[in-house]
Amino acid sequence: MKILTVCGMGFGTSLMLKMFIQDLLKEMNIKAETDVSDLGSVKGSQVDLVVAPADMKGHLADLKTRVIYIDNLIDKSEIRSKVVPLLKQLQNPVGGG
Amino acid sequence: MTAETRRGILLQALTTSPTPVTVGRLALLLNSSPRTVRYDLDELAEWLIPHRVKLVRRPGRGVWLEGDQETLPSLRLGAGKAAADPYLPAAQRQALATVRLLASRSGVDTAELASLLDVTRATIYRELDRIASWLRERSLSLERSRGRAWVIGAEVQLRSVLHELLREWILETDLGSVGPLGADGPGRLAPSVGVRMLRELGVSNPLKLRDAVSRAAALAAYPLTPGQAVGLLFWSAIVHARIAAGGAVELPADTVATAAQLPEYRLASELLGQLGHVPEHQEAAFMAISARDARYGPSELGNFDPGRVQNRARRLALTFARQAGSLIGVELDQDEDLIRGLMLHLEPALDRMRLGVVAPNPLLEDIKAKYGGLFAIAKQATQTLGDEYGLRYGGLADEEIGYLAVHLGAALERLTTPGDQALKAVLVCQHGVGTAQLLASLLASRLPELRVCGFASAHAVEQEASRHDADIVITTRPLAGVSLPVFLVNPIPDMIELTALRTRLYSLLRVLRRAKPGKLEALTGGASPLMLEHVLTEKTISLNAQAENWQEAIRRAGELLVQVGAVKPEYIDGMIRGVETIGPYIVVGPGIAMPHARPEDGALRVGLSCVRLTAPVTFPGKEDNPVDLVFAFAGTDNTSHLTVMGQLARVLSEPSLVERIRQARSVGDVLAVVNSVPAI
Repeated sequence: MKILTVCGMGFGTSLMLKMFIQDLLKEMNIKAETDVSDLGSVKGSQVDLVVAPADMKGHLADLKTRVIYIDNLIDKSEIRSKVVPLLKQLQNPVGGG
Repeated sequence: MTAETRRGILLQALTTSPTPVTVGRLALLLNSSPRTVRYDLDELAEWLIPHRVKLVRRPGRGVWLEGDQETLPSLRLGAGKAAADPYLPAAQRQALATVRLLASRSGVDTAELASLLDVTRATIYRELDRIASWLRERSLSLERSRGRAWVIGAEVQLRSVLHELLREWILETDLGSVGPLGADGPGRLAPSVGVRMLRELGVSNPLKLRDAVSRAAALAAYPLTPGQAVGLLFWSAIVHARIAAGGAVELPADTVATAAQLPEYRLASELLGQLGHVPEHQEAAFMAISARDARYGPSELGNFDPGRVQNRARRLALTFARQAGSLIGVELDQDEDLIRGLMLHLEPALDRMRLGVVAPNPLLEDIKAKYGGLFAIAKQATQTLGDEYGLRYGGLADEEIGYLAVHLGAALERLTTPGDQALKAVLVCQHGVGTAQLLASLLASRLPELRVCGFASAHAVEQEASRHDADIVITTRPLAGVSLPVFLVNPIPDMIELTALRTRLYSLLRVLRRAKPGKLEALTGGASPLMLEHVLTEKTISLNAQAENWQEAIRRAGELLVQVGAVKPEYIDGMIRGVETIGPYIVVGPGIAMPHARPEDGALRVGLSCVRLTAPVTFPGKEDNPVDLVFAFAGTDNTSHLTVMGQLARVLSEPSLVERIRQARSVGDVLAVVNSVPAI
């Protein structure tokens, strides 16, 4: 599984997002690759999931990959509630239910 | 202080100083005005004439004595007050008063303390408050009532605090080993604070105590190490005084049983007998553990031979090193320096745990902040030592684990540090060359990252340091006006002090790496990444900034980065342009913005600033979220600022920490938050 976090320049906010997501992955014991990207390069990358600030909705609208938008980028509980269900789903693509 | 006392001190200062002393320094010494000093010097000069000694004064150089220096040590300034009530600096008087309190059976008269502390009865309470808070930090309480003061606390704690005081103030010379400088020897005009401390404990002749210790060792057929002998002297004096004061230790039954198995137990019993006490189990167990601590903990004066002692200490050290190494992913059990350090620390730490004594670790918070990851690894590694070694007592205290973490940090540094990249130190020692050599060999054996490249008197430090291109100065007495970093240590530093010194040396190594790329360029960041506390400093924090709009808010934060040389001025425009072109996503959370630009927009190095606005500003598209905290940052590539960003994220995602920054009354409050965040 590959997860990409995105921000305008690919080295500030996206790094912070990536770190929070790595924490979650570790906690859930899921192995996944995480990387950061700036807005310009995100379109060419092959990933399973993109996590980005909510302000970037306009810039990422035509992306084929599934995108999770975060409003409060330092709120771990928001990130958790939005990312965890998808991580579980991606880990078990067949679904459980 | 009487005129006679003052002149006694002046004479002592002048006879012992190898170089001229300025009137200003003498005034400082006497805590009086230069005018008084000049008057005293006049009197002293006259008094010296019949002794064929000339007192010379030269403006710009200072004061010194000329004449037959050999006869000077025997000079006495009359009988009377100088010898009976020698002047001691305030800190020493306080330590002495604390010893008297700790050694008393039923408390001490406050008037008596006032005279000891050299304060009036009116101000004695302020002094006692100071002592009380010092004791409180050590879990002891100072009680006062009806003109008396006394200390309440666990007996083991009382003793370990006494030990701390003795260790801090008593010098080897006070114990009568160096001849002319010994207790009340001809070299002294008055007994030193160490000698007086021993007297408070009922030891008027340290040599007799020394004899008692050697006799006990002979009777028990126990081979004492020199360091252990000194440690046992302290403990003998303490135990002797506390038993005399009616104190009795109460150790858990299994502690007594464990101690009875130690080779030091018989030594302890004999020693109690030599001191004239009944060697009952509790006291003998306490003394045995103390004796063991004195051997494997404090100064062993560098004679340790790891190959010789295949004992429990070594097994423990190897187990711990292997486990920690496998957690980090490196091999540590081949590092003999680490094993030696751990041997000196781990087993006594386990003994202390059983005794319920916590060795104070003033650097604990610092260690947790700087070596957060290693702290966690050390903690985990101690778990593997298992029940066999007594971890069922609840595990080692954080204080102890902190020291272990520093040992690990040192080992990791060694993996990346070529030997010739050690810090070069000039040693300043005012207790004679013998002590200086001793200290040098002690430092060399315990701190492989340090190389003593020369010795100097306090007055020639700068010359000596520049001659050897030294990085730091290590001294046994406070030094002023030296341009290099100065580290103050005891002439016989113990394990705790050495570990503390080591922690500080590593911080310095890190700084030097950045500051002197030419000198230490072979070192890479490896084990010690650039951390939040290195970039977010008092220079890059502003708590009452004003900004009319969001652009100005970014400018305020950016200007701080420009001032410390982290970015070029155009970087600020880059940050503003970023918001304009990409959007206000830099408003990352409630009231918080994190403006930044790309490295190529003018970043010079990793930088971070924190600006708190007196009135919030809003960003376009984020009108519902006014911003009052602005963290501007810069990085030179995609990874150099990783740790810093990670730590900042930890702070910002923790509402209570953000609140502390919002409520901070000073930059120091913010730095406290910064320092509380571990690296991983």
